[in-house]
Amino acid sequence: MLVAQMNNIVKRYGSHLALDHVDLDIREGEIVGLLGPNGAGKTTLIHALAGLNRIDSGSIHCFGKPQTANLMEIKRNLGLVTQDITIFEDLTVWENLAFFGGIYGLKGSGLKKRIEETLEFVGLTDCANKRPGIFSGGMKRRLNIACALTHKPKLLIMDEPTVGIDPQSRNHILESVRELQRSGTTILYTTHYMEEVQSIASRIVIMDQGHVIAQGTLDDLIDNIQHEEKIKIELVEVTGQLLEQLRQLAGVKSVTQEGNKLTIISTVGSGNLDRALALARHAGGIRSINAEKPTLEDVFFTLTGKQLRDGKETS
Amino acid sequence: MARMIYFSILRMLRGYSAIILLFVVPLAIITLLSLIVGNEYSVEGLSSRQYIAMTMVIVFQLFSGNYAMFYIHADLVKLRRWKIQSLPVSLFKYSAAILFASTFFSTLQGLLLVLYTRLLFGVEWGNYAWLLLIIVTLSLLSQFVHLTMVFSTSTISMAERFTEIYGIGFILLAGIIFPMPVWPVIEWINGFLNPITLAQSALMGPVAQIDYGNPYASLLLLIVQLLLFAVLSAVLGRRRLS
Repeated sequence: MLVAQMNNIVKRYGSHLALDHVDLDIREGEIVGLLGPNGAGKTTLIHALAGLNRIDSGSIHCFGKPQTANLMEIKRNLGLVTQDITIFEDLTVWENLAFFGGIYGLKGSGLKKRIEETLEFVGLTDCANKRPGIFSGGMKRRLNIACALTHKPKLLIMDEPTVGIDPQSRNHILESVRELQRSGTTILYTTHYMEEVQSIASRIVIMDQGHVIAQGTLDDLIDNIQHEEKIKIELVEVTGQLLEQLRQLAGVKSVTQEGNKLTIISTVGSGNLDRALALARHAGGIRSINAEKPTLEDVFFTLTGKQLRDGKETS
Repeated sequence: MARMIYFSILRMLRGYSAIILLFVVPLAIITLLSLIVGNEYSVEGLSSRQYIAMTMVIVFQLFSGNYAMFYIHADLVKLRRWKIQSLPVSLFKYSAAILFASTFFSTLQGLLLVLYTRLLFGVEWGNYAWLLLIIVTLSLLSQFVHLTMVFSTSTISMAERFTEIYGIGFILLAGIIFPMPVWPVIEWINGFLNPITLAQSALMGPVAQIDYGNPYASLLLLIVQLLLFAVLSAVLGRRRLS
């Protein structure tokens, strides 16, 4: 069943085309990882889905209903975790959850029960009566997430929820996201961190310049771009003759040397791994060998011509 | 709605710096001036303590819109904009809740000052229903003036400067800090525009022995200003938040 369906979405900011005929389906129970460099249109897409932006053309359906005619009803089943920390620092943790839960219509014992469950889920039960001003970045992030969970949303939209936090808190958040999926919540997750998407997303959508340029499972995406294989060999000794012989093998695109280490880029399926090994063994011996499978980062680079590292893109 | 108002008031109660500026400072000024000046003098038909207390309550109500300005800016214009917009509540309702909370809170602060001066210095405030009406009107006017500023400027600090100019400008024109020259233009502003002199006229007139002008007309002029700023802030807010 489709939780959200975005068809042919166009959004302009003046002359800038932020979303250019974008289609996106989100199925029930999946974690969709949304990746893209800065300015790709990820946040605009999220805002359009959450009903925060008016789109110029196209249609959005959530939970089987058109967004325009059912916005308030749709919002009641959505949860948004913003990139900025949007908790109230002058209210306690409990009061923050009571405020947001109350706006979604929870009250009385139902609200109290949901707050307790949510605090338990994000590991903040012990801090329920504290104000978040004194919290670490990771704890604030967890409270930020909790504020979007109190009402048990069917679709949770998470916009870079792990920016600027320590690895321990990040792992806690990622494990929570998996747990949410197991309990039936559908999640749209945007991040700059490839390893996060790689570890939690059941489907990955890559955006660039307002377009969805690829989508599928990690394996699908890798299969689609896998035209090359990378062989790394560390030798006892590298000779000029060996380098020449390797370069002359059919299908070899490049051989680069760094000390006693060689990196051979070759067309996939050319069988050059065996040949390269035979030549290296003959030339004096092998210390180590490594044939690398393309990563999501390779996929991203191939598709966008950009790299994402540590939250910053580099061309 | 009630829940949003409740949590807004809770936030205001914990905003200690604003409480110091809008409650503790006038309390201190009233106390200090009342002790220094005493109660022997008569100022414009009122005892000196009466004049000081009434003027301070009026003056500080003019800045009470600060609460609404900062909360609306943080929640709907900047920091929490997307979060609040993602909630199943209309922005009008959310703004109205903040506005109501801010008006209630500042009115309460004003009434506490009234109670303090009544109990400590025996200040006579006249009809309390009339007094409440004037305080609520001034507070609402201040809310809408501050909202107009926040929706019409690009940064919160710019909005702050404009509200300071508005407030301090009218304090100066009212001749509270030092006497103003008797120029027709200043007379006209103080007679028809200045919320401080209008509120003084509405509040002090019925209590004082001398003529301050028609208190009903003064209150009516305040209400007209309030309505104009309400419409202006609604139009600007609609443009800014959509």
